[in-house]
Amino acid sequence: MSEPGAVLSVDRLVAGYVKGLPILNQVSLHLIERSIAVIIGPNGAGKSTLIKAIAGLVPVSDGAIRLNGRDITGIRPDRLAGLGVSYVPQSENIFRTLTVRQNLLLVLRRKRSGGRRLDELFALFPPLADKQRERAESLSGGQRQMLAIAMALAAEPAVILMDEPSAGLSPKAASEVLAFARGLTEQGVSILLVEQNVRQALAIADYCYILAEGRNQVEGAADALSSDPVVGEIYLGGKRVGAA
Amino acid sequence: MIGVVSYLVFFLTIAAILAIAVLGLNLHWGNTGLFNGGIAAFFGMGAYMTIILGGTPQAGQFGGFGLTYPMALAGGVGASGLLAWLVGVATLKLRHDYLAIATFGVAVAFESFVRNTEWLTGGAKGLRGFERPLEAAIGDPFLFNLCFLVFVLLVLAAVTYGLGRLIRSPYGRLLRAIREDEDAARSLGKNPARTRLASFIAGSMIIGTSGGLYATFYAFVSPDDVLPILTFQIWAMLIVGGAGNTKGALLGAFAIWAAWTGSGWVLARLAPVEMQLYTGTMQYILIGLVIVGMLLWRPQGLLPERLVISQSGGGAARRSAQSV
Amino acid sequence: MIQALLDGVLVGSVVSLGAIGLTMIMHLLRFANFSHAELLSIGAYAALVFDGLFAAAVPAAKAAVGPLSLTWTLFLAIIAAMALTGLSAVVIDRLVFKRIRETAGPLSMVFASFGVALIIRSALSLVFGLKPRLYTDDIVFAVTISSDPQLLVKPDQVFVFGAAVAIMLALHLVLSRTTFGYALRAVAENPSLAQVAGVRLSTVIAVTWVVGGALAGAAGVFHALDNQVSPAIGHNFVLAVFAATIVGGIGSVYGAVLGGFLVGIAFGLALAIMPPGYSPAMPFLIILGVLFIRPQGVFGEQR
Repeated sequence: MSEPGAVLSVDRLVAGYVKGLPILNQVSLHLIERSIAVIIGPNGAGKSTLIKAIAGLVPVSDGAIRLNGRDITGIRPDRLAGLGVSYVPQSENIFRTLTVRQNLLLVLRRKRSGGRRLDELFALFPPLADKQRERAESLSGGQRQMLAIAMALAAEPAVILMDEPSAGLSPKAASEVLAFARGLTEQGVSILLVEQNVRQALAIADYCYILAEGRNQVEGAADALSSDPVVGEIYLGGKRVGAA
Repeated sequence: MIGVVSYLVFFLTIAAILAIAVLGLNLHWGNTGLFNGGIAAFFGMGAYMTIILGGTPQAGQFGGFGLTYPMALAGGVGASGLLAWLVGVATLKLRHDYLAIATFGVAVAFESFVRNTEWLTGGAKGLRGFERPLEAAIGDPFLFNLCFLVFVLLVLAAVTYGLGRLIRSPYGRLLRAIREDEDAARSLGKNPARTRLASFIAGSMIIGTSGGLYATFYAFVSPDDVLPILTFQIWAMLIVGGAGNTKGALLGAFAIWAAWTGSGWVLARLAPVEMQLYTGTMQYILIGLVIVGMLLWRPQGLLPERLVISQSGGGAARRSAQSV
Repeated sequence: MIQALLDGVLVGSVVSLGAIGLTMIMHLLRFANFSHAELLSIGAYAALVFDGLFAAAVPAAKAAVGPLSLTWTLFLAIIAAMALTGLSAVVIDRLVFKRIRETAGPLSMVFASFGVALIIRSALSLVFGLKPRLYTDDIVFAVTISSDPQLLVKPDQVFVFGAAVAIMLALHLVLSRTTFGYALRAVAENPSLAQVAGVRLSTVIAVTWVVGGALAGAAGVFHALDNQVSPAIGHNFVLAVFAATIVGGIGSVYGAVLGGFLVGIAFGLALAIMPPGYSPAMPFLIILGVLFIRPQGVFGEQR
């Protein structure tokens, strides 16, 4: 069952790397079009696993994932790219042995107007243009993150899944990345975000889901939750909702 | 009638000798998950060393130290262990197929070495001049063969029993633990690399024992006894019977040896004269088909072990043997 | 000594071509493929068959190209043989290895690869006979390119070296300038990220088999051109190509090329120093040495 206006729906998802040992237990969420939903929670909550399951990288044993009403549960990751969904992993999100240019050309492989798009991306991210013929491993942490986001944007996606985009960045760079994400929604992109940087994430998000121990705990509008003490309690291991 | 019985004794002796080697491979592959691609080298080391140490002096031939039989056999077994140590130390810490390559390489190198180092190994002519233990005392050849068969069966029973105890012992549990989840085992203070090395050496020594007995039986060894086909035969035996499973290993040994000698006999009878040269080739294809076929159709072997699917972080589920 | 080096470089070209496919597959599928070297045998025999077919179709084309013993029919046969060998490689994967890796672990694939190697070698013996064959009955004379020290080189050898280098250059261009090459390298570095970037894994795996197989097929023909066509080619090269991949670092195409030439030169030098019977053991010593000193090889493995 999908909610109206939801571009991405996850419905009681059960998923994990090993059959019989699920990490996610009946997790549900909706991503409304042109909005940012953020997933937060303590370590080991299964946030990354959730994003990876949507991306097709973690096996799903029960439940459904829908994109604009269409079932994409267990889809092959390369097919998802073709459906307008991009995924930015938390780490190892660029190809170190390829140059910046080659990284982007790889993603633009199938696109007819690849050359034009490449120019657009370089206009959007000038530091990448400067280093375009250098191997990606020579980039700084912030530049690598920029490249990873550029790669995600290259295919002009409708939905972007981001796993801790601010990880490893300075507070200033982190807020820049998150502000950039906010800006993307104004251009029609919907973003599902996992973040550890709770304060900054809630500042730019529309909706928030809190996950712990592989289950939904609390959800609500981001600005409402940012002043709610329950957030802190869940993080510190006190309150749990919906445990078996 | 004596002819048939005589042949049966001969058949069973060889099958039992090879079964000992299969048990050694079982310790490597079935229990420890190690891939030994060069069984022929450890077999050959045991065979050659036994003859060199225990043989009588022969003109123009190295060796003939005339040690007592138990010592000669022990020397052969020890030499196999030493070779295993050398190969294991280099490869066991690395990705699993490095051991496959290295052991395959050691077998090729070993064959090349014994075929060319004439002064030490007799080259292509091989080594002879070995007095089989108690042969003179027993006198009658048929009786001797029977006694030797009993001896081999006793060794086989001892190895079977020994391995059975090993699997049920704490060491066996350690092997299984390392197979299942190496990181967990390491965090408990166990040293997986050292345990695997010990297992590799032990299994290779068992294979060396098999080689020593083989050389004893024929009182002769040559480079043609250490060809790659031997490695394939032993594997086929293990794959058919069921890895990780002693009963399966024994079944596989006797079944494959029967199939090998049987097919050889049939091909020799039925193949036209021009094709007689190719009977060996056809047998090779059969063994290859058996190996590939079993892996595709029934990789757990004819006598499957009782399986316990357990988890290891992120990797494919591995199997652990409950029975022996 | 220089003659030994020259001969070694020639052997090295063959080993390099054979090792490229092996290193890619070993890295991608995580298994040591003992049947890869048999693709050299398949290539050599395929060229023999195609040469015969083309010569029967267009007898005039069975004329030697310049000073080489290579005929036009054989030249075309090499290309056909490369295609056939590449096809064989991917078919074998579909029939055997793919099914095994879906149900069992990588070591079962290694097991199976031994069986496949045995089958291929024996089948070739049965079909073509155990006796070695030659592409041409013409006797080719070596050219003395230097009298002191005496250096002899056969025109065919120059062709083989040139062709091998040309093929490797072409591969380099594909890897460094085409998006498909980027896709291959991406999968080698990080298969799941490559999928996220829109690369279809099964296609890349199939292409890797085809390319690796084609290169191995070429290697087999090149070797047979200077020696003879026999079912033992695969067995003779299996350790050498493994040694090349280990020296160069599994997963690195450039490593395989470097490793191949190093192994070839070592072979050449070994033949000059040791009795020829020992040469099969030489790659093993190289392997052991590398594993003791620097197991990841020159260019290491990404993972």
